[in-house]
Amino acid sequence: MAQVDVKTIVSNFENIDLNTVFLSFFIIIFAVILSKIVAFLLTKISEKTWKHRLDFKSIISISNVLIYSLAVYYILASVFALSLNQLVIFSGFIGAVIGFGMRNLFEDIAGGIIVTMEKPYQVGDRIEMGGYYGEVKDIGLRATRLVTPDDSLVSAPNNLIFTQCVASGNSGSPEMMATLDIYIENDSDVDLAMKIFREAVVTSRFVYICPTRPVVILLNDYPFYKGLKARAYVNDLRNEFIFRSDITQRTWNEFYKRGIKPPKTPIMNYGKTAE
Amino acid sequence: MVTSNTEEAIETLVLGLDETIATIQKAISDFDSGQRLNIAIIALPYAGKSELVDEIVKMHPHEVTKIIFSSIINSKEEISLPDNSTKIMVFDNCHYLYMRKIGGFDVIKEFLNMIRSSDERLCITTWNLHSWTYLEQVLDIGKYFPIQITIPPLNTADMEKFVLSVYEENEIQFVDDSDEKNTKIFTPVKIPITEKITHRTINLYSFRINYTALKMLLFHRKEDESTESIIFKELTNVSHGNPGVATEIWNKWLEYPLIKTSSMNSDFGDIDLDGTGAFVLCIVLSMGHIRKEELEIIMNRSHNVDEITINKILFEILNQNLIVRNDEYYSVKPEKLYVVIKYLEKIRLVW
Repeated sequence: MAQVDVKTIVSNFENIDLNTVFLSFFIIIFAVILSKIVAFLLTKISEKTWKHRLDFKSIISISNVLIYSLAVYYILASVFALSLNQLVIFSGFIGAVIGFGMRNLFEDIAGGIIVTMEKPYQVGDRIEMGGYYGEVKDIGLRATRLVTPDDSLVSAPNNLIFTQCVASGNSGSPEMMATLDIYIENDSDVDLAMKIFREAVVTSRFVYICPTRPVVILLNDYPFYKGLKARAYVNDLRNEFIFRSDITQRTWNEFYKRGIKPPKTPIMNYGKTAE
Repeated sequence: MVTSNTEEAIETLVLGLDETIATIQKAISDFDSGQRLNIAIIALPYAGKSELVDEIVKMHPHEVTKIIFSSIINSKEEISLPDNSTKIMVFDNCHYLYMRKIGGFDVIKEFLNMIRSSDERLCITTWNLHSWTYLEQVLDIGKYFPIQITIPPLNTADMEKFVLSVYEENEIQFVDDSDEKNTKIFTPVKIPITEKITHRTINLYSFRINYTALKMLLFHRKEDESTESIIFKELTNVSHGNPGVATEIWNKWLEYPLIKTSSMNSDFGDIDLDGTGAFVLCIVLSMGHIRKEELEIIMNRSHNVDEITINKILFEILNQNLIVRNDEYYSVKPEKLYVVIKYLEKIRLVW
């Protein structure tokens, strides 16, 4: 039975003519265009319904997998006219070829399917992957594309999820925590500095505060300086860096006005510190 | 204990505020019995919180001292209690006691401390809803006001009474002139898209939905429904039951003495502002009314936005018909209030 199926597959492939190739090519092009249109529409809708922005974006990768899988299935089942048994045999054959010859690609695709199903991160999340940090722009079958803070597009192979830890800063939420550190002179008025720092955070136009997303200001004492740490949520993770910059700039402007200074590095300023 | 004076007053309740006034009256009688529970009345602009406060003052003319904050208070000295103050203190527009800037919370902290330590007085305060929400997250002010009252929206019947209260009976004529069959529910619109590779602009076609017409088609058309009822239902819906907003929209629809169903239009357009512009709009919304000088203090000193930029932003927001300038005060246009709120909620500037 299996022999007959294999013979039919072989004969089907021997009978491939220009029409079959053209039709297959057309289906692939159609699938690409359809996936782009779906991605475009979902992106547009996600920007309109801001609250569920990331939910809509997460559907993009699932729709891509579905569209491409259906396209491949349609090509094999209708264009090459393979039966279910033949499809299984063909899949096994292709699987073996991929497994031996294109192991990495196969791992990437498996990784892509796992990322789509298990959602360790989604489109729109801020993640650290393969040594790169940035916003997930697209989860493809082979690679995840990240945009780094300096606007570089990084394609990280999906198989990294099998071998490396992937850190997601927001786990699907539109807001994300940002921690900011500021260091001041040891003899500064710490209470005043903490008040200013807190007010700089809570008055920022990028901050998001709610009972589960509080603003926390912490003080750390170091031998040569004091460190202030703020933990606060940025209202849209895309504003993370501008949020940090906004708070840092406004805090230091106020610190200088109120006589709070940055620490003098003992190594650089050894003589003066000794005095 | 409710006095005979207040019993009379309860009979003349402000529309839609029966329960609210009853809650305040109970707090006052509880205070007489020795339990002090300060009150925060929280409302959106134009919702009628000042009218509610006036009603309370009318009910207790000799027991209430009313202090109105009409612009941002910069100094702690301006909030000290008068020596001859009565047992009930009403502070209207308490959102003017803070500024969203570094150092902008000192006055309100002093005020809250004053309220906390003033055991012999009951404090009734009014707040802008968005300022309250912000301050609740930042300063946890809810703890100072165990009774928090949000002014409820008017229902259709109350809205009708409220709007028609300024006219004689049958002065306004309601005309149903809408032609449902010819009302376009879907209008084709062009959306220009820049193509990624060649950077050429391509026009995609989409549909804009006329929700008012759609709602009219789906919900309003009952055979026996009067034109008056249709109009007031739509007015209540569009204004979210806010009397100030409804008045403004009513005036726009009214072609005295006629009001036509065809004039009902709730499409107030989209908002297109940059981040700083949206933040300025957020400040204007949270303050209710604000002067340019006050905006400058907030934006310039703390957010590093210079005067030229503020002028540009105000010009832009005025041009988009989102705010209005009365004398030297800027405020959100009543009919645009909910569009602005929706926009600011969408970009998470108000929570």
